[in-house]
Amino acid sequence: MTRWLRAAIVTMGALALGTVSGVARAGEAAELSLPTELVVAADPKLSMDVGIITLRSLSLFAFQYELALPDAKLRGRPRATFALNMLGRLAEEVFIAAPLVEAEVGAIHEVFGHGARGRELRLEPVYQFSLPQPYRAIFSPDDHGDHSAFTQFQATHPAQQDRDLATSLAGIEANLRTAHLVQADMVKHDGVVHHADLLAYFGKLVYSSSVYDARILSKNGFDGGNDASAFVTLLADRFNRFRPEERTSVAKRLQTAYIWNLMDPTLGLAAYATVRRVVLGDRYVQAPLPHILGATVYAAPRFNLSPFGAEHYIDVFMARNGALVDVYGRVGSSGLASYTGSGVHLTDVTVSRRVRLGAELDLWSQPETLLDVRNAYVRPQLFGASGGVTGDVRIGAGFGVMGKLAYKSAGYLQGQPLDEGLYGYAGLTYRP
Amino acid sequence: MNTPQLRRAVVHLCALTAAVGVAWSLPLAQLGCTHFKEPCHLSNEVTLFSDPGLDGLSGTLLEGPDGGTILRFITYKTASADAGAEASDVADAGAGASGLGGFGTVSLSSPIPSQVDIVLSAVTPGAFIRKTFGAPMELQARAGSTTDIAATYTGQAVLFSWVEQSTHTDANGLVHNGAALRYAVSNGGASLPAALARGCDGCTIHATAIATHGATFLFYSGVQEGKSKPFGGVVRMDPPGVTVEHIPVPSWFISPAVPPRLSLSNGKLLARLSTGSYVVRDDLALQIGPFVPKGSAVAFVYGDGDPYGAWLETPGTSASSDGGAVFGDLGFDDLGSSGGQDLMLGRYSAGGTATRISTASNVLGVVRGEGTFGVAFASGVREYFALTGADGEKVGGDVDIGGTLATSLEAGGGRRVMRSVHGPATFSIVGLSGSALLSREVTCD
Repeated sequence: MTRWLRAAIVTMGALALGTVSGVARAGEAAELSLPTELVVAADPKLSMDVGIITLRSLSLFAFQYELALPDAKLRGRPRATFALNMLGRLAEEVFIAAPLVEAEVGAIHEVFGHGARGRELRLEPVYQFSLPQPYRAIFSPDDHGDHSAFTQFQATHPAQQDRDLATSLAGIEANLRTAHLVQADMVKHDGVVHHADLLAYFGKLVYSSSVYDARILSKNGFDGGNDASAFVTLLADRFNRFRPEERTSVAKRLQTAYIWNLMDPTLGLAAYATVRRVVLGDRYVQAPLPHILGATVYAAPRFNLSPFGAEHYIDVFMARNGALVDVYGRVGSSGLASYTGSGVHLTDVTVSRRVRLGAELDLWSQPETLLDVRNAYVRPQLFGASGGVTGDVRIGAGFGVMGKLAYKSAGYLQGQPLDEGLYGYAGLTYRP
Repeated sequence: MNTPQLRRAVVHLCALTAAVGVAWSLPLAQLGCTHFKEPCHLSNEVTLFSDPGLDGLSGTLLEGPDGGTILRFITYKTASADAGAEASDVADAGAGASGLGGFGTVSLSSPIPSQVDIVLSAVTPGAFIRKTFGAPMELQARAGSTTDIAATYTGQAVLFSWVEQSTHTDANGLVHNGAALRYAVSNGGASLPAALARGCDGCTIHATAIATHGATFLFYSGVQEGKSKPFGGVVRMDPPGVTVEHIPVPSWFISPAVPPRLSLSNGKLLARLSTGSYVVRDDLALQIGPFVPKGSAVAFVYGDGDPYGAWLETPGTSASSDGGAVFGDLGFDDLGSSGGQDLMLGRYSAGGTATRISTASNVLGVVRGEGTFGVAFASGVREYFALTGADGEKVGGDVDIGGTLATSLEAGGGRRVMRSVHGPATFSIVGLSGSALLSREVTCD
């Protein structure tokens, strides 16, 4: 069985599962909604997490335009009206929703993926963005470039693998991180999620076609390069797998590992939510998550690219009364190094009417990350940890403050700074 | 599950996670879970010698005795047919990883040297001897048709050697080439009269010279018109110009087109010919060879009965693209480095393996320590040092030893600056910067 076929079967299975799940709740989801909350978070280096939190919030806030459209609930209306409205929503999806989400996903990828790592490592990132589709095709018909956005670092530094690897994979990492946060919020809200969030969920598949493109197996990868190919190249280089067949082996490992990213029922839900939005006009869907002892429970695979290769997570989410517990374990599959970890994240535990608190602990074992050393192929294996608290306080008149304060040892943790030290963010929230 | 139950469950999960973390950390702690520590560092940079009067001349670095360095500057005569020729060094036939080799292999239009300045610098800053050796009058009298000019420092004197080309036309109109290999020893004052090492009509001759710590050798080879089998020989001098001995050389040593490139390593002569490379003893008996050097910008070192080399290979992947790389939708703008080749270290004997130790744009030198190899190399605008174990596996990372020096030394066709080593843990990397000789010392734990 070819990898393509295997990946296709897995994807179709996930889609089917998600579709069945969504249909199961279709009748109940007609009037679903969630409170809209605007969050603007920041930290000194405008890191990955603050970007994702803020842009997701802004994007969902922007989708309030939907409320100004004619009532989307059209069941029982005449077929002609139904068809016209469906066409209208298709046009809305193509010309408004999709470009909005593409802008969100692209900004997360570039500005808070590559860019966040670049700021963290003082590389002076600059960006170029093209128009989102379909406007790019309409207004820039001669733009045949492979990328709709581009990040470039202006700082002059000698090449350094750990830094180059971290910045190179950070775009995909940010999109995968976004998907994880969407999924966590979905469980927290008992499976209810806005279709735009699920549209952005597809961002986790960025460069997936490149992963299974035959060119990634060649000795040089893609001629023009792309993030997936660059990741393979830099990873092989970092671990001194310099021969062409060794690079190919690293790429094949990634192809196999990437199946984990496709084995995701939430992808199916995302596809279903998009179709449902167009056909029925539903803004929200609800995943049929099981309940155990009154808590919403969901075990989901999570995929990530780390500086040591692909990572496979199992997240076990449990939510009750707006509080969420995420217990996860992660293990690496590149065969280039041993890298494992686990953690517990507890968020939004209601302490009082105005205050919600959380705590998180992450542990890992991985090769030491060396940002100041060039071409050191053999590293010590280190144990590391990160621990912190989160808080959300309602002030009044819809406004509130939120934040996170954490400390971590040096090492790689998805979406977090590489170096040792205090980190976190603070933000303002507004709930109309 | 009520809220207290949920909290208890969370506490239990946290405890479980912490227990798993501790379980991981214990075996790591037992293994001595320590942070990375760079084994080597740049410990010192000193100016061994500086003379503004030599600025503008082009010099060559060679390994001297007792850890010292020989710096050779050449002044060319500017009269007659060579007027206007730039004062520049010529392709160095002997500048390998080590050795006191001479220079040669120059074209007919190459300038004629008028004198050679030798600076013999010790490891101690400021301790140096500078001597000037005038070129023999017979050589200076040449205005052209002179090839294979070599000036070999022997420790006390300089052996000049050159090939005089001639042509004559028979009565029937046929043109014949002739060649005469001559040499003369300059002790700093007047040169001894030039002597003929080998001359022939209707032939071509190429020659090169090298001085070991015991003797000085002048190798030659040539081919007679109408004959396919080349001839060759060696003039052994100990001391130069006094005791002269003509001895035969093995057939594999004779290369009619170009003279062998000679260098010294651990007392062994390393000869590089078009047919391969050979390690020979001081009595010219073959020890190892032939082996074919790999890659480009090769630096040799000899140790443990085997020849080793550091060289550059075109990377099989673009992973080694050091500068200006564009990765997907991510670009690195001017990383300040253009080194884009794999730097390999390996053993040349049968079954010898090679290991990549870094990425580089030029190999500057390789040295053998006690159970280690030290490799100096350039990557873009920086120079680095890398340490490996006896098996060639790299230990630590690249040690940045400073900006690149004396690019003119490296611009003359793949010449490498010699680096000297003293002591098992200290590597002295000597480079020429303008008219100053800089020593960068790397100390390893």
